[in-house]
Amino acid sequence: MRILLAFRVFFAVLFGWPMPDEILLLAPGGSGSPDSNTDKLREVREALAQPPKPEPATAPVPVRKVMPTLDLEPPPPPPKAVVDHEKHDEAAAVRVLGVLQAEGRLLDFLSEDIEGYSDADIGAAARDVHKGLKRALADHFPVVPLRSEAEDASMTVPEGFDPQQIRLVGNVIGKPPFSGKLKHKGWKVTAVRLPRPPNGAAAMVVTPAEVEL
Amino acid sequence: MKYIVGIDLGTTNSALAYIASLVDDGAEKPLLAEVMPVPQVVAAGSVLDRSTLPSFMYLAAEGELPAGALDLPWAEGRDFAVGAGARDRGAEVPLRLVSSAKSWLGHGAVDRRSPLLPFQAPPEVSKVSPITASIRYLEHLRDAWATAHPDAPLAEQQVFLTVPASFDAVARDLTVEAARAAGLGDLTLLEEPQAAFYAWLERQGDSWRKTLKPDDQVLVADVGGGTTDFSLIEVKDVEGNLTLERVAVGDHILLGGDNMDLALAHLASQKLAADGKKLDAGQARSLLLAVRNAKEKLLGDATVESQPIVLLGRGSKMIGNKITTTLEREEIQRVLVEGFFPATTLDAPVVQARRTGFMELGLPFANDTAITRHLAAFLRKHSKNGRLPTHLLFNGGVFNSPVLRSRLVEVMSGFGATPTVLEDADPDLAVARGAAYFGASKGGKGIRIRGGVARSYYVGIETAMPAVPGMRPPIRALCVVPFGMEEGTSLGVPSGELGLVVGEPVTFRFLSSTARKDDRPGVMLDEYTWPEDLVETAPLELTLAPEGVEPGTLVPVRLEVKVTEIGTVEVWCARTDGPGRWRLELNLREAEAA
Repeated sequence: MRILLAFRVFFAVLFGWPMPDEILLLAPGGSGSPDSNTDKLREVREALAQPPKPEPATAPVPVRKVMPTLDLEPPPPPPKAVVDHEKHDEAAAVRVLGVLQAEGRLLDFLSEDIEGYSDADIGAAARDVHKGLKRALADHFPVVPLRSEAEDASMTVPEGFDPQQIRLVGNVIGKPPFSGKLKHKGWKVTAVRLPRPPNGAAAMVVTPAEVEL
Repeated sequence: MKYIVGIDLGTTNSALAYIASLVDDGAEKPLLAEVMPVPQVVAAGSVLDRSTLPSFMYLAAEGELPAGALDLPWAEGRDFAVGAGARDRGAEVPLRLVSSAKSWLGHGAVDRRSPLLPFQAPPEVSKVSPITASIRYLEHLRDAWATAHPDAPLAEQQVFLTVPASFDAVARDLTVEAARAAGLGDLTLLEEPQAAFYAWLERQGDSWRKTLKPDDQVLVADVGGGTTDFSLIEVKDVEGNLTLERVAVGDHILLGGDNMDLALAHLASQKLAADGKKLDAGQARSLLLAVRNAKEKLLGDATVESQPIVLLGRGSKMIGNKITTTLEREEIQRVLVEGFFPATTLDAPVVQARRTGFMELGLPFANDTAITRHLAAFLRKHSKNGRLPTHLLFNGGVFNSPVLRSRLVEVMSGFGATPTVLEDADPDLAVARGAAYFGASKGGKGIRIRGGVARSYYVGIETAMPAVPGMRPPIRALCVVPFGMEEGTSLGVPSGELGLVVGEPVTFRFLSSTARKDDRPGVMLDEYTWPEDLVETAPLELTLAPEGVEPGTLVPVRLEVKVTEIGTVEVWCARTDGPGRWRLELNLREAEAA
């Protein structure tokens, strides 16, 4: 289920969670079991663990923030930081799902058994889902490509490049600067605008049940 | 920093645009209005920026939504919402949704200060008046503004608020009342089609003088979500200078894009019913959205032949229970183009529906859906010596469609006109932008359209005659305000002296006309000669209580009228045998009984 994996990766990127191991199986040259990739896995983990470098010259798109946003909330007090941070992340993730469900009915789409349906039926529904999710993305997590170069354009990876922003694939030999071809521009979120957090127990509710009167 | 602010308080969408006020250092600067993003509740618990504020208000039931679901950055514990979230939630719970408040504000047959919206909601919904709803929309814009400009409250800025050209003195007064209640201080009213024209001027700069020549006439065709309005602006040569004058406005026609969506949804549900597919309430709502999207595709691109309509199943069987149909170009052509923009001749009458004995007290929706026939009627009424518009400016969301634009041009060429289309940019935001630009031009930085009041006004005077049982004494109409009377002027009405009884409430009938442009103040029209286009607005009321005069005494007075700088009309009674002047107030409660 690549789509589920894609969402796990999405949340991992969004909230700084550990990357799912399976992601490496999709990388070029990465076939077989996770074990055969443990070295690579460790490398990537280390790369991800490095502190982020300052933003490169490509200035981020300024976006005026509207409350409530994640980063506007006061940081939790230090002693309880670990626990609160986790709870906070969980609740935030549920709200992300809530937005994707509300706008694009993502959970309904993924939960339905699509085995018996024709491609045309699935396609017709997917159009609506696509449109809704696209809107949700634009409203709540607007994204822009990380690189401005055209795909397949030649580019130079400078010395001291930020592995959080550039992932090398293929013949990774020697030291930077490297020259290569841009295969994927990457994505970055320019703002995170989540619905206001619900109180207490409701934190795990993605979408309420609907009762018609 | 001071700003000039334009507010479009629309029937279905409101918007705010602004220009930083110019420090007069003599340098010519480009005047470009910016549109303010409006943070608003878009869904329970979610506040996002939108370029417009949908003019809808949702009145939540107690406990219906989680605590704080309708909160805004500047307001907590709200039990109502305005904007996109209100509109969308209201689609699910229609009896709690206030919509078209502005049309109600302009509707003379109801008491517009009484809580009557949502119309026909059950008594347990605590209703609001059309004026309260308007106040809420303006307050929202005010608070959104305050969040973005904390150092420059809206109360201290020059605000130009747009109203339909067809709004009469009463609806204008009520709009001002709402704006005052929302704390807008320095206020001027501006007609929407004029604002749209200013938005065009804004983009033209000085080059408009090359496009328009003396004696040209520009038709502003404004078809929004719920209303249709026409205005004519004439180019005149005054001592070698080109000037602009708004020479005619049409009636307020309750007909627009929403009617088109409903017509298409009706067609689609008939097609589905023919296939034996039944819609539940939720799917019926989705249908309206789906046909609107399909409509925009089909009307936006003439090469698209067909659009799928997909209604997803509501529960977990989203794909399994989905219902699909299609909308074909031929159907759009038949239902929308032929239904709303049929080819017609200039002398085609507007179709009136048969009157039934019982008339519902709701909004007076147009019976004839043919916008082109309404246009023909407007042109018949207002074109002088058979002259037809030389230019055409589109406004309103409906004219986002190139198909409908070219259709209107086609129909007008059937009238014998070959209008040049003036290129507009964004029909949804033009009015707010144009209002801000008008504000800047009022300060001497741009061109101004002359126009004055768009109607002539009359006061009904009872004629003295012997009482006849069962017969009301005839009323004559005394013209008090001539068409085109300029803002900021006043005049005494030349007429015989009128007598008012001290201490007793007196009520005058107040009438107006968009068609009688040549009546001068003091002209008296006999009731039986009243043309059909003299319409009743709300009655004027006064209780005269001068000091030192015995109640019951007859005091001689004459009428004085004033068109304020804001753009409202005031009627005063001035004593001719001594000091004293009293304003005649509009009585809206009487209007209900009338």
